[in-house]
Amino acid sequence: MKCWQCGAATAELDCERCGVLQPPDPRLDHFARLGLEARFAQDVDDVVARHRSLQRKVHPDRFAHRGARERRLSLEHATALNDAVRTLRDPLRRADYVLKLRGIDIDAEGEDRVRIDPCFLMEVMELREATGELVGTDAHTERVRLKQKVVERYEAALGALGAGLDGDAPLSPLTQTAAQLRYLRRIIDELEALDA
Amino acid sequence: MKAIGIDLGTTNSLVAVVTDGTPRALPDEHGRAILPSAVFYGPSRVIVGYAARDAAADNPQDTLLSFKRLMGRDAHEVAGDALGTYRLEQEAQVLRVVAGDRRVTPVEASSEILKVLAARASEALGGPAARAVVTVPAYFDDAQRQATRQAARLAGLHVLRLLNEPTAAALAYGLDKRPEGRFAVFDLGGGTFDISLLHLVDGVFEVLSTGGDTRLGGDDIDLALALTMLAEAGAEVDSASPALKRRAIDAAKFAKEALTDHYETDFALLMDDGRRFSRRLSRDAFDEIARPVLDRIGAPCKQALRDAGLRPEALDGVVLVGGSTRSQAVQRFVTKLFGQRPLADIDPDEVVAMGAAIQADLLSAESELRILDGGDVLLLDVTPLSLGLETMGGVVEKVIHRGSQIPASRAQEFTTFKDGQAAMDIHVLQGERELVDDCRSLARFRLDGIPPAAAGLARVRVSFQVDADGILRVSAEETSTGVAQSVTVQPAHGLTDEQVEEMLQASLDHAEADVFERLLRTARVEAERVLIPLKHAMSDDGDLLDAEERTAIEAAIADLEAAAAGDDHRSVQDLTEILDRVSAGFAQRRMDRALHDGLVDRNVDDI
Repeated sequence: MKCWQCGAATAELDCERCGVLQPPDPRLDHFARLGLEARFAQDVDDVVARHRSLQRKVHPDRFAHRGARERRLSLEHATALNDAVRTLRDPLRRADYVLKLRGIDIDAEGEDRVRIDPCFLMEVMELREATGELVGTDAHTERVRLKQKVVERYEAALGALGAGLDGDAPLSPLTQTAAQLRYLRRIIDELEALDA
Repeated sequence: MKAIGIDLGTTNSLVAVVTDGTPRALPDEHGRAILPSAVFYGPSRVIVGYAARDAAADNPQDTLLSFKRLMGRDAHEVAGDALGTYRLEQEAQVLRVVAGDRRVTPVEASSEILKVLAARASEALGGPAARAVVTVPAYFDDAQRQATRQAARLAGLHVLRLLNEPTAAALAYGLDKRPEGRFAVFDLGGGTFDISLLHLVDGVFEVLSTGGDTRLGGDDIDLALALTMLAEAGAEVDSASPALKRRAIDAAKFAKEALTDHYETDFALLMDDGRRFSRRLSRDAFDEIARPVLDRIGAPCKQALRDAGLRPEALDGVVLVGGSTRSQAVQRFVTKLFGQRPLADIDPDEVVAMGAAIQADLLSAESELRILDGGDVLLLDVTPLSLGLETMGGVVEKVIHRGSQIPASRAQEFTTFKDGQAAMDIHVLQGERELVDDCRSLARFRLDGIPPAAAGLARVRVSFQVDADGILRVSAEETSTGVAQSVTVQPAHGLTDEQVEEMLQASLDHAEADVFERLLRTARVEAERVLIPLKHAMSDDGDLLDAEERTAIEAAIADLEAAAAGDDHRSVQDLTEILDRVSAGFAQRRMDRALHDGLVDRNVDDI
C-alpha cells in the first residue's frame, strides 16, 4: 500500500516515512486483523491481549489531537478491532464465523436456511418446559441440576464442533451442531436469569 | 492552551486541569472548587452558582436546580421530578422550563454552568480554555449525551471526549498505576446513580459492565425525608406551596448532612402558616426512610456483577464517587453489598473532575502526564444500553447489544414487505426490553426512493455507528439496485443541531453586548474613583493650584463627566487617564503638604 499522505510504500499501521495512520485493510478477516491463524481453537486470553495491544496503537483517544482524516481512520480501525474481538472471544460466534469463512451462513433465510433436526427440537421443547416449571419457585437445587445438564450437553457439542471445524470434517453436520448450540445457549441464559 | 476537565454534575459542577503533572480542581475567587449547578433567571440577568442556589428558596420557579435530570428528556418523562416545582412546556420535540420571563431548555441552563467554569479556567490558565473533556454518567443514553455535547457547544467549548464518570474516577484514583485488577466504581450523585466494573491490564482500562439509573440519587433520599416530614407536620403535599416544598427539601438535605457526623439531629421546618415544625431524627430512623431508595441501588449493582461474570469477592477495590456517598447509610450499604470497605481517600465531589482533567491532558498533543510519568493509560468503554430498530409487530430488533465495546458499528438488512413499496420507516430505539413501547425512542426517519419491486426483493441496509463518545449515527441505504441513499438522523428528543447553532449565534450577539456593558460600568466606576476625591481636594486645597492648572483640570473634569454619561467605555478610560495626568502635580503638592502637616503635628505633640 502507498501512504495516503506522502506516497511512500508502507506495510505498517503507521506510514514508515511520515508516521501518519493508514486506513484499515478491508481484505483482512477478523483472525488476520488480530494476527491470528484462521481456525476455531484459540486462546481467548491471547485474542483479548492482541486486541488490547492493537487498540493502544489505533484507538481514537490516541488521535484526538491529530487531523480529521487520521481521526476518522482511527475510528475505522478501532471499530474493526472491536468487531473482531467480539466475534472471536465468544466460542459460538467464532464457530459461526469459521463456517462463514467457508461459505456457510448460519443466519441464511429462505432456501439456504439451516434445517434443525426435529428430534433435537423435541428435546429443546422438553428442556424449555422444565425451565418454565422452575420460574417463580425457589427450587434452587433443581435449577442448578438442570443447568448443569444443559451446560454439559453444550460443552460436549461445542468441543465436537471445534474439533470438526479444525479437522476438516464435512460441513453439513457441523452446521447442524452450530445451529443447535444456539438453542442450548439460550436455555442456559434463561436458567441463569432465573438465579439472578 | 491546555485542555480542561469538567464534571457537569446534577447538584455540583467543577473544573480541573493538570498542572505540573497533577490534576487540580480550580477554585473560584472565594477559594471554592464547587460550583452549585443552579441557575437563577432574574428579571434582568442570569445568576449562576451559590447565589442562584441560595435564591432558590425565595424563587422556587425561576431557579433551575438538578436540571441535568431534564437533559435529553420529554415533559412526560420528567413529570413528578423536583416535587413538580417547575413549569414545564413541551413544544414539538423541545422541553423548556418557564423561568422568569424566559423559556429555557435544559441544554441552555447547562451551558450557563459550563460558561462559568470555562471562564474560571481561562482566568487560571491566562488564556481562553476552549477544549474540554466533559463527563457524563455511564448510563446516559444517546439523547442525553447529545444534549451534553450541545450544551458545551453553546458554551463555546470544543468537546475532546465525553468521558463516563466512573471511568474518570478510576483514572483519578490512579488505579491505572497498579499492575492489574478488577474494580467497581460506585457513583451516587444528587440525581444519578452509576455502577461500573472495570478491568485493568497492561495500562488498558476495559469497562466490563455498567449499570445504573439516571433518575436515582441523593436527591431522592432528600425527597423521601422531606415527604415523610411534611406528612408528619400535617401538610398536604399536593397543596403545599412551592416555597414550602423547597424549604422541606433544603431541611432534609441539611439533616442528612448533619447525620454524617452525628448520631442524631433536629429537623426544623417553617410551615406556610408560620408554625414551626421540629422533630428529633436519629440515624436509624433516617436509614429506615432512606431504605427504599437504597434498595433500588442494589439491583443494578448485582446486574453489573452478573454481566461482568464477577463475584463481589473477585473485586480488588471499590471506589466511591459523588457527594451522596459521604452519607454513612450509603457507605454501610456499599460495604455490605460488596463485602469490603470502599476506597474513599479522594474528595468524592472532586474525583470525577480530576479524572476528566487527566483524560483531557492525555488527549492533548502536549500531554504532561505522558511525558512526566509515562502515563499512557487507554480507556476502552462500552455501550450502556442496546440499540435497535422497530420491526413488524412493534418488536425491537437489537443491532448493537448492551456492553459492546465502542466505537462499534453493525448493519442489519431488511426487505420490503409490500409489492411496489417505495418507502421504509426506520425507527431507532434504545433499551433492553423487547417491545417498542418499553424502549426509548431515539429517532424516526423515512427512507424514500426505493425502486418499485415485488415484496421482499428490495433490500434496505441500516447501519449503526457508535463513536468513542457513545453517540450514535444511523444511515440507511437501498442496496439491491445499487442506488444508495443515506439519511442522517435528527434526535427525537431535544434540540436539533440547527437550533443549537441559532442559540449560539444569539448568545454570541448578546455576549458582545454584555461585554461592552460590563466594560462601560467598570470604566464609570474607575472615573468616579478619580473624580470624587479630586473635587473634594480642589475645594479643600484649592490654594495649591495656579490659574492655568485650575483651568486645565476643570476642563478635563468636564470632558470626563460628559464621556461617563455616554456609552463609549474607551473614551471614559482615556479621559480618566488624562485627568489623572493633568492633576498629578496637584496631587503631589497635596501629598507634600499632608506630610509636612503631619510632621508639624508630631513635633507639636512631642513637645
